[in-house]
Amino acid sequence: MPQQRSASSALPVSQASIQDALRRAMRDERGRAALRISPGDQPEAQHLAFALSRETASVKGGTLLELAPDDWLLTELPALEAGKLHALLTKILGPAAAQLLPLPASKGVLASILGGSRVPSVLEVPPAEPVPPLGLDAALDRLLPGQVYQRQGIVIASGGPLPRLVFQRLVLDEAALRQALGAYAEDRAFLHHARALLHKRALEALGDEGTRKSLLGGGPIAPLMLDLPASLLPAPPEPSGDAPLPSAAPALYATLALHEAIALPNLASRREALHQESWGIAIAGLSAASLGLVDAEALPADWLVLEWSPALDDTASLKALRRLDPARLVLDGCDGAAALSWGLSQGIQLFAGPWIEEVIAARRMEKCDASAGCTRAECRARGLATSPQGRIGCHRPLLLEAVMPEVPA
Amino acid sequence: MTTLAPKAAGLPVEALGAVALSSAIRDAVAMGEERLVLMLRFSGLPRARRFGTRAELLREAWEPLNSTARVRSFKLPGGDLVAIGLPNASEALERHRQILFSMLEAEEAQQAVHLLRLPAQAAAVMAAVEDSLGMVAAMRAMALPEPESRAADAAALAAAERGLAAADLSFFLRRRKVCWLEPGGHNTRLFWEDRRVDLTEVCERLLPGCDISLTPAFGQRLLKSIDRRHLRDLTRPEEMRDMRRLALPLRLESLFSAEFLRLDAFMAESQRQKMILGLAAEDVLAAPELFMLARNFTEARGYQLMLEVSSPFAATLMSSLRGGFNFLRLQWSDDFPAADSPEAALLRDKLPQAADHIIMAGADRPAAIAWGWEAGIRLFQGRLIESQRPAG
Repeated sequence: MPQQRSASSALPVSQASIQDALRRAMRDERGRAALRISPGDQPEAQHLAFALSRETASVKGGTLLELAPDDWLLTELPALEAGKLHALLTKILGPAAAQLLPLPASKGVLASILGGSRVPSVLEVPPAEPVPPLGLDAALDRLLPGQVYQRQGIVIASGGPLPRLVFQRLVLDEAALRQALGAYAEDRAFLHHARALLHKRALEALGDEGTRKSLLGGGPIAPLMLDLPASLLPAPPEPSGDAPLPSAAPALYATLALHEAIALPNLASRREALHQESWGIAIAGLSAASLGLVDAEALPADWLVLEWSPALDDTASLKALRRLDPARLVLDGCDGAAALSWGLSQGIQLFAGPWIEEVIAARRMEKCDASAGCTRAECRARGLATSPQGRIGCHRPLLLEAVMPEVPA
Repeated sequence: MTTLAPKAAGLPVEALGAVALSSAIRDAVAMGEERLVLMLRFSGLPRARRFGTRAELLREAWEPLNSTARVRSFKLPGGDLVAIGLPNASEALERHRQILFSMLEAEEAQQAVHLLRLPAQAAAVMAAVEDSLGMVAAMRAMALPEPESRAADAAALAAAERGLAAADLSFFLRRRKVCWLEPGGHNTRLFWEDRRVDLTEVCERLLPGCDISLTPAFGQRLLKSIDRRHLRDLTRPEEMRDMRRLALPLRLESLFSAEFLRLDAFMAESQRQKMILGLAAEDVLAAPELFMLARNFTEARGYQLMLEVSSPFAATLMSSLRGGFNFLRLQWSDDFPAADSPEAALLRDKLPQAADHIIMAGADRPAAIAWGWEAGIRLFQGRLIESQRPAG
């Protein structure tokens, strides 16, 4: 292709200058250092590391090279500046983000790069351009809840032999949503907008019997947690003349994102009013990162959904967790037995996530007399599906509808 | 009685019962197993019968089924009772049906007591259980609000962004004094200038007829564009030359924009120290990992950080953030409890910042300043402050 030819004809020039820069850095002159930088894969961290390194390099010399996507090299700086930049980068990005290579002592490293099979290139981190909104409306119009929602199960486990289903949760499959949105997903605001719009569509779909059955794969089996944008939280009911009925257990839990929940000044009183209408409040978005930022014990919610990650076992997270009532927590995103046993060790009893879906599918297949032709992955996917197409192939739709077979008495 | 897993707080036995029953019925039907189902539906009875002694007697009559062999009994959220039995338990179930019938008026009994067979009458059983789970009723209770004004679509947003690009930003920017104000009026000093836009005002102009609260993400997007424009303007020589202390609210993402990074490289550390960067609590909690990165970055570069909360409730939730910010900015509203109430004392205790590092914004009325003074707050912003003539 002509484009490629013109690129390769330009290559020798920049390759020559890269090799020059590396050779120059290897000269026998003391009081200098190179920096090896690993900013990680977060785009914001890359922009930051690039801007700060370039700022120093443009004043003090040295060339910024990309050896691999997460492996950059600033060929040389005077030792003082190199030390300052190293201190700055590690302070911002963590101790693993930058490595100081004193020169000429470390020139072997540069030599191996120079002689290596991988050709370095001049580092460029182009600024993120805002994604234009044109066409977003059409992309969102095409998007149906059944394409991007999952019907998850939340189980109670107490370390005993068999977990049991206690809630269902209609939740957005973030990966599917990003895929459906394409480039629009790169803009956080558009992603938030799409989520809010889908939450509204799912709520509308649940209000109609036909679409409700299509989404949930049948009738409701368990109290349902439903993600809602704060603006759609039901208004408090009109006070009625009747004495209030003894309030029943909520059948629906409006699941609010943490950052939206804190913006509702009267959440506590609304929650009480909603209980009268069989609505409860759950708050999602607690994680190892957010636990230390918010006093979650003061959140007026029936349930707090905590996202599993190994970082929850860090001292700071454990300290924040100790202030929470574990009986109010749902550990979401459980991806293996380790998550479950960590949760149990903290007194948590409710669990959800990919590993739980595996357990549910396995239990369903154990009970099912038509499972011979199905794989676990198929049964799991059909259980998570929120559209009739997603359930095609199942010969025991009632068992699928029931999510998880009952423990025999 | 069915054995239940240990009870989690807030998880009533009845809810577990309904889930267990729902699955048990579907399991049986899916596998073509025969079952008998006896239901006592209080929801089918007149209100007076649902509570009190009569209801107690009915429940007592049901009690033996909890320990009958080959029968599992379930209590459902609305109070309904359901027993599901193997075919050879039919005698016990039939006997209880008769007892319950004898305790009720004929018409009531028809409404409230049912003995059904699975799989033949599966639809009726499932409908009754679903009903007692209460979801359909809860859905009905929730009517989607019909917004009075229009929600913006992406086409409207695109037009607004074009409008913004052509507009003079200074038209939207509000420059406000933040002053140190002591009871008695001594020592009044200008602390810094606060520069921000009023999103409602911007949207009235750029998104006429649309209610931005219906599409908050679009509001955030516009604010991000405004941040970038503003940051670009700040690198102008006349801004840089005589820079004073300046408070600037920014979206978290704006701290990583090319515009901010350029400004950052442009400024000397002494200039960065004069900048107070405001982050909204909502923004921080929406992207906590990004906030950690932003905090490390701004701290390493010498900026001051200010946490902005929209309500006293939000302020009480953020006391863990004490260490991450230099200042807290409260927005005065009628949601603040009366200054002499116990709620106010509780709120003051929980404020995530020493009182002399808290700014009370929206001080348009004396009540805001009075509340602030009571809490030890000395930094104010608002209409009443604009008229102050600070010394120095």
